[in-house]
Amino acid sequence: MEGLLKIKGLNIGLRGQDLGERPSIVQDLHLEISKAESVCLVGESGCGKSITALSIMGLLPKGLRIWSGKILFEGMDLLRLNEKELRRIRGSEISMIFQEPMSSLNPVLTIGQQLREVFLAHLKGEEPVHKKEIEDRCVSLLRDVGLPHPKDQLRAYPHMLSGGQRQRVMIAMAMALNPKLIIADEPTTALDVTVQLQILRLLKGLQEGRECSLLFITHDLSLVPNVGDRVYVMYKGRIMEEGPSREVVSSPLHPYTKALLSAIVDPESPKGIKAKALRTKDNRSNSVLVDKNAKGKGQGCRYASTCPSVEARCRELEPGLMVANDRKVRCWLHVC
Amino acid sequence: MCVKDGLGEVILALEHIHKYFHLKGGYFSSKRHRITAVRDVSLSLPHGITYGLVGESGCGKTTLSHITAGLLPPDGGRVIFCEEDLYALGYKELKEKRKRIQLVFQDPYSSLNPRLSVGYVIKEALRQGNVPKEELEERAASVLKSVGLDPGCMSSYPHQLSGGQRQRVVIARALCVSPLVLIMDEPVSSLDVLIQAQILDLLLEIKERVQIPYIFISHDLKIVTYLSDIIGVMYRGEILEEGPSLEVYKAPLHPYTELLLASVPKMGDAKGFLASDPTVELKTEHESLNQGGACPCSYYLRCNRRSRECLSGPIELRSIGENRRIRCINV
Amino acid sequence: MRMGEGYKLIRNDWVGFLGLCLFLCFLGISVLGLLLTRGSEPILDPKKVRLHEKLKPPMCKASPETIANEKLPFGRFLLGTDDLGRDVFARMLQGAYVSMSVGFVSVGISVLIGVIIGGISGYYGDRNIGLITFLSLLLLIAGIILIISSNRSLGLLLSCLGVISLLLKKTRFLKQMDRQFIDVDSFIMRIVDIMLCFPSFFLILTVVVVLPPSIYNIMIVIGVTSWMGTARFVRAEFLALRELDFVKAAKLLGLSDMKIIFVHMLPNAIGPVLVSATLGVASAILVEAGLSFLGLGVPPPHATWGNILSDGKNYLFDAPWLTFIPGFTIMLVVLSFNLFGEALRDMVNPKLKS
Repeated sequence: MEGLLKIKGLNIGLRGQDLGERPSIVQDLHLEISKAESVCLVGESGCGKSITALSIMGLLPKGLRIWSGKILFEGMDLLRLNEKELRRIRGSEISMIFQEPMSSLNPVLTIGQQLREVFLAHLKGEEPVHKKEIEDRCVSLLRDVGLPHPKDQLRAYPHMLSGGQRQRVMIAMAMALNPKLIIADEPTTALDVTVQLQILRLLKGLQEGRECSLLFITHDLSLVPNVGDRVYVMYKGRIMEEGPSREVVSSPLHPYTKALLSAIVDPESPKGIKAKALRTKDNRSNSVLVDKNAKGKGQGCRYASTCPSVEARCRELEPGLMVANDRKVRCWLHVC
Repeated sequence: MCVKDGLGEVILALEHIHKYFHLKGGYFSSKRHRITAVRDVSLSLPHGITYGLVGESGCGKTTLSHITAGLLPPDGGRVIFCEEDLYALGYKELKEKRKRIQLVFQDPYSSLNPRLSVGYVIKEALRQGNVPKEELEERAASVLKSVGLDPGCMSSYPHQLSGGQRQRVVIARALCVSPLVLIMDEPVSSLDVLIQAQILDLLLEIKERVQIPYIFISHDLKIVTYLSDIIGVMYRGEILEEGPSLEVYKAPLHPYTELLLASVPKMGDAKGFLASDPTVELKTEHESLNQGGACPCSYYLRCNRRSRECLSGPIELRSIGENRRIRCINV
Repeated sequence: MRMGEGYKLIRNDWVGFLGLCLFLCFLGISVLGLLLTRGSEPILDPKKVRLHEKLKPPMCKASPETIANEKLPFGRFLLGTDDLGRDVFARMLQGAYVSMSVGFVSVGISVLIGVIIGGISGYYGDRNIGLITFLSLLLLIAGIILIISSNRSLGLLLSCLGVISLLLKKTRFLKQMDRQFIDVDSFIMRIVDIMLCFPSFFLILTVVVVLPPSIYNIMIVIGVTSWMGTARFVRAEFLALRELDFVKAAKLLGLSDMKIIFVHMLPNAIGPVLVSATLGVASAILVEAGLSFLGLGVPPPHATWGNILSDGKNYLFDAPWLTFIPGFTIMLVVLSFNLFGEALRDMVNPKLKS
């Protein structure tokens, strides 16, 4: 399968950060997505996965800066494009679905108006646009995502829809122009389990039906084998493990992946035993999430402070990404 | 005062609780909509048992938790705590009694006052628990240690702590007044998976140490089953199924419970997860959201087992076997 | 910990820091001014009339006879003289104290009243007032108003009726009639609306004309007629805060209502109040200036920035400094309060929305 998106050596740090230190948000990220492939990016909140997604779209927040790296989309480096060219790509070639369905839609515009905007933004100037034609396309889009009474929904406002329905509208907007890559940033985190199932089914169905690629970002490892062909596990800005999702989930190599897996609650296991295995020495390690101010000094593995199998060399030198068959892992334990 | 003797003594019971909310309709019309948040819910909580309440958002579980904790008077029914009707008490007595039912909220960000330090919050709670002044510092340190926090964080403010740490502080605060019942409203839903597991572990440990009954509310069936002894499945204000947790998890009887179970992502059987489609019909979901309780069975429109008889009359919660109850006539 | 963070914040925000410095300067000047110009033999005399020196421009040299009789800084009139030959610099110093104190005290009063009323409305808003309670409160208020406006006998009668019915409300006879009538929030907000209907300056004018002229009356009057904005802010914040989990948790812990309001809710609601208070100080100074301009302010010969402005309007083309100097000073003070107010808002309301 040919490569659609290739991220090479992406480094993102805070603006004004000292260049001698390690970039604090994303370090040396390599990621590849092929055509019609679905890839999962897994990690806790604060590990940089959303920032990576935003950088693909060119929507990096103001306080952050890309230090180096390339994002090649069909051979074109997205980081070298200017705003006008990026706008052409956004929405029509790469589109994004965000996490919060409550705030992703503009509350003062109807669904129809927001859907139409997507078309109008990209078809302007190319051909005379007929209102009827656009409306038909909107209706068929809403039908494809499974919204009932699509014609009526065009006139509805976002607050009249439930969270799941709003997310469907978001998916419709993302699919409108048949993009080649859809980035879904935790689309089901804010939804109930029953709705999550429906949305996942919808996403997968649309992705397979239209043969586009999907970058699915989540913090829940249990969704990975259901949604992705391949998975990247990210921790504090670094890819820790990579491989086919089925294999990574059934035989994880990196201690962090193992920790994520054992955190998935299994009701049928004896209580307390599973969770106790996770309890780290001191819970100050929870502060890693707010410790964004900590300078990126130190050369060791990022996971060393919480890793249960940590050794001396882990603190001294950061391991590189070791390759084994079609799997990659960043851990000294797997160096032969 | 409640005496803790032997299992089987019911410490908290809800009897036929109803709660309605009134909405004004339109700009100038004085016509009022009535939304039924909780419809005829009865449950009882014996000593030492964890009762898990599962349901989607909007099913009324948060309202029910507030009613049970003494914050919101119901429009019908009684809350019996330690053999006394909670809402029949005068305001002052209610305030005293309420202290013994503590509530842990979902959002760790709004559960703590951003202007007060952790130490102040804990000491204030301890003072409410009638701890003498001399012992405050010591007891505060020990309570924080018991939830896995370093006592040095007493001088920190909430915005300096992570979500998991804040949730621990909230749990510590709830434990300071030596409650007899602890209600937890989705305490782990907004936390990351690893932190979730740690907090769940903490809750289990506290349960073993302090031996108080919990009411654990969540929309995630896995977590509720893991933590509770009895599960109640709630939908649109009604309890549809109730029974021992593992039994309900392994062999659900009500179609809605089956749907919840099917929504749990399965690691092994990927294709099966996305293909399985026990009940959902999207058209009917849309309609059922706008219904407002006109059908006797609130789940009728989404049910895959519905039949003519379902519309014939009100459906009661009936017992099946020794300790299961179900609200469905097609079982 | 809080103040340390606040200090750092202000250091980064130089505009706010500038505002703070200016504000402190003016505070210092007003105290200094009070010391320099009071008493019968002050160092800088604002009252001394020197008809031979009238309408002299700023920084002009004083005539030899003046220098012989008294000491002037550098032998000059630093800000010129007015139409009676009085030293404008000395008058400005004297006026500084008045204007600043009018600003602070009236805002203090209005914030106090606004916080109490807004707090009650926001916290107890859904409690209902019974019919009898409502009527007796009305009687009481009407009675008080009548007493104030010198209709003593009728006023006394009505207020006594009101008090008696309040006391007897619990008795069996009246209890049945004491059904739920209106809720506290609506009641208070309607009073606020009534107060807002009056254009505030005219309200102040009316009261000032009725009462004997004195600086304290003016302060109280401005305070009592401008609490409505604060009340609305506080009520709005309380309505939002009431639903937050930590307030519910505090209720569950059994804390008393007063404690919840003052320890938990008020510090979080104070943000907009502070900003409105700093703006209110500016506006109070301007109101006082306006009153003096119309001749209704502090009685002469006591100087205030407003009456220097007012006296200067007759000589706008001959001696423009009489108008520009106080006007410019008022503008500086208002600006510094505004800048400081905005910085204060950022400092004081950081992480409520996290």
